[in-house]
Amino acid sequence: MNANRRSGQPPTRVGGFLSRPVQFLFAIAFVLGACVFAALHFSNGSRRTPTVAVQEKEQGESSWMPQLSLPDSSHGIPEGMDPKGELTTDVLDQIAHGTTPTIAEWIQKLRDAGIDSGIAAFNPPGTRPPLIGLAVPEDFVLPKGYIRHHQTTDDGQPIEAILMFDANDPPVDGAHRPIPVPEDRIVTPELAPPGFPIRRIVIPLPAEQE
Amino acid sequence: MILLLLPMLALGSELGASTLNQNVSWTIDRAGTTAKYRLVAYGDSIYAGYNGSINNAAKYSAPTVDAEYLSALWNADIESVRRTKSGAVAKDVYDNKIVAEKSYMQATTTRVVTFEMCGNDGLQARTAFKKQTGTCDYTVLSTAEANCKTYVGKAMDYINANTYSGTKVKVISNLYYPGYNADNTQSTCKDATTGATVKMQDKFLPSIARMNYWMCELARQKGFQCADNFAAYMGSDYDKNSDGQVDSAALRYVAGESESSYVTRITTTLRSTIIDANTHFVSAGSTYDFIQSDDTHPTYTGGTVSAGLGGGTTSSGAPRYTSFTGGKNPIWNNYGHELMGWAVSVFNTVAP
Repeated sequence: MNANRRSGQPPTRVGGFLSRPVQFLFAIAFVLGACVFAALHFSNGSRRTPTVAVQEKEQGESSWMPQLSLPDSSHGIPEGMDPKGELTTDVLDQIAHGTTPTIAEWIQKLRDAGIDSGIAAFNPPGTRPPLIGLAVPEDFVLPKGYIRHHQTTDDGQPIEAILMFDANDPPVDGAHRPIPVPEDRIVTPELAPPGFPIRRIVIPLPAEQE
Repeated sequence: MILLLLPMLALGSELGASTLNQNVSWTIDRAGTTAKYRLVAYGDSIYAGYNGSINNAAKYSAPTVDAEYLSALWNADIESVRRTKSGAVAKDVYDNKIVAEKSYMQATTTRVVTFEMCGNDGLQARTAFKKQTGTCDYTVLSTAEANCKTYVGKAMDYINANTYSGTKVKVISNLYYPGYNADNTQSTCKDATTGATVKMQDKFLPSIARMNYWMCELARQKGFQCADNFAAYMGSDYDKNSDGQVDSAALRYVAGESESSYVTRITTTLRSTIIDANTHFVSAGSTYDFIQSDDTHPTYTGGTVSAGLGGGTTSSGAPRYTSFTGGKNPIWNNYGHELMGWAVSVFNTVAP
């Protein structure tokens, strides 16, 4: 019998309270049960029953404390609040420690899972990137038919103004006929007014975060 | 069966996440002053100053821009307390920010309470509508409108009942129309009556107009002011159509007008003056793109603060501007948040 036993394997308790295969099954069942309980528990926790949350406590709020609204059974549901009010869970509750997905990655993840509510209803950054065109010097007096178009990066930096056509009142050619305006209205070097300095704008590098 | 359920539970738990709390307290610290008053702003990603980041947001989102105006007007420090949840629909903002976090407006230093909501109701309805095939179902839009009206009214009632009694100014900010140009396309669904596809802009514009009407009309009925961002963002800052009125002023809600009057004015009479906020005419020769690269959220200047994954910022700084000619800072119509903050500021009282 021992010859059939693997090294280090305890002997099977034949005739004991539970046979080893049954013990194993119970162990599997226990682990699964614990997992289900934990999953349900934390799932409900992250949905945050609509109690007055940590966020309401102004005193002692740390600038760097993650803003998780933990359930607090010491508070009741505030008057006027829908008991089923917490419609969504917070992104912050779901992100693994030490990881920092971009918002674009999170939006994509939600959409891939068939979710298009919350921030998944936002377009990802870069959906309509800044227009690139000829830089307009601040002191250059534009002739009729041209416009200075100002843009900003997503981190709040101004981008040099670019030269665009006024679609409603475009410049005219030598025969006083309106020149054809491209669909994007961006003035290309060959269509720039006489004397206009030809230089394309450069999008600023991302700013340092404070 | 259990083995099959476990991964599904884990996935559901992970991906149920869809909103982002972004709370910031930024004090405009005016030199030589000791008095300090508070502005409380509730809302979604707009007042949050969302900038496509999970970690930070605009320092000068609209409420903080208004705080800077207040600081000069009242010669005081102004604490702008922003309690916001990006991605939240109106009900979510009401339940989980305005009601659950009422303590912020109950402080005795509170003088201004402002809120905005409904943008995500509209965005989600638009997303749902764009996915439709077969016969168009317009109830997604009407449901968004109904929810907006319901929770705007409830929010005003709740703020009226709970804010500090010395609160001087209560303002709601209504909605601009992000993606106006992008919606100038046909639907994939077909109208039940005509059997043809519909131009989505033609369906969404009346819907947002009805939402905006009720935000301003409920404000009138319930003692709030209405910052008309639709007019400010979508109309030019000069008389572009030569009708004798500055376009943005002509688009504003008129106190006491009927819903049909307002909606007709926006969707028909002055429709030609509505321009996507990514090409906002400040003059005949100069335009500003008020919208970030997601074609949804307003531009800003003045840097960023932590808001989101790393927690919220509670800090202070000197004002960028300390006096305002004609009640406007020099960049009031150069950035989306600056314009929105100015639109809120016009209702500021002369004294705290």
